[in-house]
Amino acid sequence: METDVYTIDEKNYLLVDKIYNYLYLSNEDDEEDTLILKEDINNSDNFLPLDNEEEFKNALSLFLTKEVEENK
Amino acid sequence: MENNNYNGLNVINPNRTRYEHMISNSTRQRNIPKQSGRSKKRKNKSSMLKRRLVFAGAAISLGAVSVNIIDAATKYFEEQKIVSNTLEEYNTIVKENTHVLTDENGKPIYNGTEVMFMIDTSNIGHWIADQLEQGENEAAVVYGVYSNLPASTEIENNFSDILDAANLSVDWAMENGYTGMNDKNLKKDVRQEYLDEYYNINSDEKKMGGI
Repeated sequence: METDVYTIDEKNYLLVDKIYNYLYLSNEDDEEDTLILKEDINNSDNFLPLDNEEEFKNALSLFLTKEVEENK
Repeated sequence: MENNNYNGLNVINPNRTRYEHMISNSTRQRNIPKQSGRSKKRKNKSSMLKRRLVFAGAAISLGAVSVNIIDAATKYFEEQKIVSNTLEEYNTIVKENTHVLTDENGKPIYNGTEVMFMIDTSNIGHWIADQLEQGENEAAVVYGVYSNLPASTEIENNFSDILDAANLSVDWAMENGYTGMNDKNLKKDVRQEYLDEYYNINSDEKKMGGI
């Protein structure tokens, strides 16, 4: 399978999934190094960090819910 | 450490610190140009599955899911973890028993379109059979899928032992309620991964007829 790769902070991150405007990214060289960013709806050329931990958890919840639903 | 409340029980989450970096990495204020350094890469399914599990594991550990999804998520998480580990294990066995045929100069021999390789099916078959004899070993679930890998040259070689074992493991998997083997793309993906990762062959090199 082919996936998008983004260079962030001089590290390559694979796009694991995209849900709404959230992007779930994983360091190509370190599976444990992950982050979630969001596309800027006002400027599609930018990624934005999540606002806070609550949004981070919400994004994780979206991911797991989708994962479980698709594997039922 | 964090307190989560599941079904009225307070649970102190010892995994909290493990994910601090993930949280800070995601919420650190910065501006990231989306298009900088963007490219595409081919990755195998096993690799991507492991990465998905990190997110899934974080969601469960940090209590980022509602109580009613915990059971389903945990079941999914456990099943996928087994599959992921087994793919890695079988991958190693196949790699150890696969040898590229080379000419007198040590260069891989092509048959016109593909590099030619010899696979010791006996060793792989015996290994599969040993695993199956272990009965309740969940690893058998995915052997059938991965057995499709050496079967790519089935016509020229005798893979009956592997295919027999594969059929057994498919039956076993179905009887035990596993569904992950129904992915029709896996065989194709595995075969491509095999060529890309083990022998670093890309389409341009194939056209040139050598590495």
